[in-house]
Amino acid sequence: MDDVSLRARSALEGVLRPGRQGAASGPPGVTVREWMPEGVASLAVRRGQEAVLPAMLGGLGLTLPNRPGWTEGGGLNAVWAGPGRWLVFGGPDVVALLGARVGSIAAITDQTDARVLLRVSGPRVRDMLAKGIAIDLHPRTFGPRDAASTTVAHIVVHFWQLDDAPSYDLAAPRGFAGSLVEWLVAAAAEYGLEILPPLD
Amino acid sequence: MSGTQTRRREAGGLIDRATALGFRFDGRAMTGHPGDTLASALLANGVRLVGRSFKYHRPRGILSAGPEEPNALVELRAGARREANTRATVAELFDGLEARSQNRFPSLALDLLAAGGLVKPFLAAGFYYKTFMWPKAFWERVYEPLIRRAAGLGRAAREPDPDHYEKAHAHCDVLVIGSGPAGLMAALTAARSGARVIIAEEDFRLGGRALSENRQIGGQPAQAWAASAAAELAGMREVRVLPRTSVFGVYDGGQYGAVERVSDHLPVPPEHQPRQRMWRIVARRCVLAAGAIERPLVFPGNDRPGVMLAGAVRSYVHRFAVVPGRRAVIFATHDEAATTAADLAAAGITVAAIVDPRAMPSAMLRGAAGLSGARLLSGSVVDTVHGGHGVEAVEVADGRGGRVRLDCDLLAMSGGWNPSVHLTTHLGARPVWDAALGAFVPAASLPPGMAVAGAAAGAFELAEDLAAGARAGAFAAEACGFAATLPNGPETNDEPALGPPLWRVRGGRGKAFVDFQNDVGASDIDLAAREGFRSVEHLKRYTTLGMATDQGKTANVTGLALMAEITARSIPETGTTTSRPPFTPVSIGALAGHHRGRAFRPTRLPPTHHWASALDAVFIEAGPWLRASHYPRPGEANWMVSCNREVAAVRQAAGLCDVTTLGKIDVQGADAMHFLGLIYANGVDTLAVGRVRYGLMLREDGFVMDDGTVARLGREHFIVTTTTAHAVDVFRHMEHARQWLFPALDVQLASVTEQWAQLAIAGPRSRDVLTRLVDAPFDLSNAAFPYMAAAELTVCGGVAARLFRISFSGELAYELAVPARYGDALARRLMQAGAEFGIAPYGLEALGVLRIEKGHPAGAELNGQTTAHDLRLDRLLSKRRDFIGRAMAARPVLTDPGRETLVGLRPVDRRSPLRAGAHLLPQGVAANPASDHGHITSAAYSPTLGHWIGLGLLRGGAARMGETVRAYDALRGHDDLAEVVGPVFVDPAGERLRG
Repeated sequence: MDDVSLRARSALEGVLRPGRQGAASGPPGVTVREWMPEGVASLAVRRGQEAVLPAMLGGLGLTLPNRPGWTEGGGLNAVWAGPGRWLVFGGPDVVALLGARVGSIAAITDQTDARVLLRVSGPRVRDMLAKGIAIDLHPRTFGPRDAASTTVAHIVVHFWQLDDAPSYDLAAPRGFAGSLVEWLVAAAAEYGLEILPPLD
Repeated sequence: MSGTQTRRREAGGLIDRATALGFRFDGRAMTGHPGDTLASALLANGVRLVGRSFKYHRPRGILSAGPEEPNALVELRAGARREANTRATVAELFDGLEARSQNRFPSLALDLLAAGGLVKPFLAAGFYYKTFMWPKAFWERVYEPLIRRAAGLGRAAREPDPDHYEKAHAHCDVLVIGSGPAGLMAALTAARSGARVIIAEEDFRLGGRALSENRQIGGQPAQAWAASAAAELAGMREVRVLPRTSVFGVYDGGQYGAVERVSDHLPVPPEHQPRQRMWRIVARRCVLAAGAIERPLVFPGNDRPGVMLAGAVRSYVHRFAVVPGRRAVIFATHDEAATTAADLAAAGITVAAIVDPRAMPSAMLRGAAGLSGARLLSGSVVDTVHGGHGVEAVEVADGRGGRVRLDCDLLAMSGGWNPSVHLTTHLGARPVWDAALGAFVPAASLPPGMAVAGAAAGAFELAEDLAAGARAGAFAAEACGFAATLPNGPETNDEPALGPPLWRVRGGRGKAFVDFQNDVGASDIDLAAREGFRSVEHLKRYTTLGMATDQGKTANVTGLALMAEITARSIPETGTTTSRPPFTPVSIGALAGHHRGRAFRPTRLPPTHHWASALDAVFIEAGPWLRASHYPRPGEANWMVSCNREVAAVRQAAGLCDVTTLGKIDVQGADAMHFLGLIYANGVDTLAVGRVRYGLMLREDGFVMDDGTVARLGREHFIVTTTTAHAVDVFRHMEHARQWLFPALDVQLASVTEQWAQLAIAGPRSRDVLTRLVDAPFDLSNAAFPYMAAAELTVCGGVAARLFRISFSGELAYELAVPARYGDALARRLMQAGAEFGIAPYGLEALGVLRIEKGHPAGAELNGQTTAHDLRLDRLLSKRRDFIGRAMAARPVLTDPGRETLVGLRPVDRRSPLRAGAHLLPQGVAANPASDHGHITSAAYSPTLGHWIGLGLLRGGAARMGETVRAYDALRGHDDLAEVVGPVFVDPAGERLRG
């Protein structure tokens, strides 16, 4: 009898190998790890339902951000993705959960596998990101809870800041995962890059 | 003190005498010290002859001490790192540096091509245009190669650059360009207010002219003042100091381009460091404190090695502790001659004379002449220079017939200063002539956010520079919301005064140069004026004035002034000189940054890439995607053998192909169906739930934009697919329609291209294969899941999936989508399940053959110039409803039966190949553009039919079935006959795909 189950494969399997890259001495200036979310849904509000959406989501404990930023609540994270659009991170049931709550007033689309997610952190991470991101990440202008959409090395990247470490999540189309990592390894080389095992 | 440095002063200067750096110039071993440039080190070693000029191969030395250098261009480093035309005046010395002179044969001292100097009267401006006109055919084959061999400068490396380059972005409140007294004051004042400041300095040391002038600032020597200012800036948290960084361009939105030479001062870049880094700086405000460039004087022999700019002479003496000559003559139009004389005398250099064209020398000059023991020759000019490889003597004319010959090995000249206004002109502003100053100054309409301070603004007095810098820095910081405090201007000592410009010395013997690098003389400007090239734009192009790599930094203003003089016009009447980026040459490597070789653009990999690699698939680029072209098996001689086998597998058994790259768009909303009816031309708004339809999309102008499929998964839920090539354009088009054309409709779009791994399973056994994967109770039978059905289901024990019964190959076929993480495993599972049915993976080559056999238009036919009528799809256009492109598609010219329309082609001689790109001609006519009736768009060998087939666009093609035409391929030398047939070669009735 054949084993019929399908094994999930990350786009970075065999590409982002844990270990040190670039400058080898001293503490790493940048750390990176892949993050594989359990469930991601895009949420786009139906025409004319903008006012109703917050109340209908209220029961979940989530308040959607109405600016380029992110919020959390009820075990979910919502990242602003444009006017009336969000990316919601949650458990494997996030599509069903949102569908049941707001499916009648929003388009919910499964995006769990559409993006590769990299969590970057460290004292030199801003310098590293400046080699690809044209947005000013100085603490005076961009901080925790801020999000933006841009391109890095000709790749569309949606990113947000998590904390003051500082740490950021970078989300890029899955197919570009290898090229994004190549850029990142080159950009972080002078600061020393520590690649950590994937986050679940 | 090192033995080779015979011209090094024993004390002073910003060099580290404790460390010796060995270097070679044309093989000769020499030493210098940290703090030297290659130019200062050469001078310290007594080297005056550094290169040969571009056109006449005249001996040339070192003119300047900065980025404006036109003469001292050398080849630096060797092998793959060899770089041509490096200015010795900005190349920082390092241990082991290797430099070679350029443009000489066989050696610098004995240059045979300098014989060109003997025939130089024939090489005047316009010489090439006049001489090499006839015969015309000789230009490319004879004249141009000859001219190129004789001219030209250094040689580029032939190997790929081994170093890496990168790009970075920086943001600030205030960008200060230049770190002379004005720039340092601007940066300090702005930074002390708390503003984020970037100060960019081209040199490796901050200070500008403060490093080179024997002045006092704030009660201390200028060099010490600059060092303490630099140290204060370096210690400030919100200040980024960028030495070795040239701001080369100003762009819209407060953006500045800059190149940081991170590792150019090292033999090889340290590990993990780039060679150069290109900065894109976004600044809310900018203080341009770029200083000024000294003007050479135009007199015969002014290009001889040993003739140097006076300010550069002071730099070498004071900053680099070099003795550039033993016996000097100073020729200047202003009182800085006094400063120069004092500096030279202090360095132990004999000042033979000060030559001043003004009739009445100032008290300052008389005093300096007295102190330095120099003869003061007023109302006089230098008009002749003696010496071959370097100055040996000069002749001075007093304008009243008197002549003096002065022995000297150094002539320090100055015609005043040109403010460095270049960056103020990059957005189109033209500098303004200031008659009192005798110089161009920045226009009032500066680039937004920019202010100019110091010598760049025409303020040549040190005290004013310092005060203006502080004011500009404070104003810039305040404009960004910071409270700045104006410091007291540091005290300075006396200032020399500038005099009126002297543009040209008449008389004397020899050629007087204006543009040293391009060998343009005053006589060439005379010639241009005589021949009517009097506009500055014509002057530039006719004489090549200012068109060398230095962009005429020491030449343009003088050339313009000479033309004004010749044509008896004022300088403003004659024109202005503006510049474009880059201010200094920028290497291609810095512009490319990370994006070279394989990283030239990002690569997009489909989810089955790993599986395909393990099968040794050969990959091919499809836009950013890397897709399998074919899957060679052992013993297959070439790609065609593999491709034929893969086609046969699909036609006879089953094939497997990753089609994830097709664009997938999720469409939802109450008006989604109506919206899709507008987007597609073929009335998809009658589609039932659980069904798929082919969709044809037109552009607004009526031409075909793309084709694909529309599947209806629910009442208000659709999945649209696009071609791989047009996926992004189609999504953009649909967003535009949603947001702008039909904003009242309730429609939401989401790209799901990367969310789903989609695999095509095609062939008569595809159902048998799939049956093994789908979870019960899903029924795959033809009755339950017929052609053009769509469903959501689970496979392989609960993995969410979508199944579409669509076919590109014309066989019974399905496309199965699973979340992308399972794509790789799904391919493996399908191969396992299909093994007993003879399943084979197929690549893009086989996919192409299969679709040509079925006459499906693809990229070569959906080329943006074809209509639904051309592709014989006009019967699909909806007659009952409106859609994008409908009105324009109905234009008579787009439905003219005479247009080129899609046809099938097969060779009359079945053994002949057909070639895409071959032109289609009627038989018996001359092959010329007038008789061209179209071309073959796609061609392939059909293993199913056993001969070549093609698709083509043929004038009035639909009515020419059965006609024999010529397939004429002049490029590759083929001329065959082909029969015009219908475009569908295999199973025209479409029975197989419904089975």
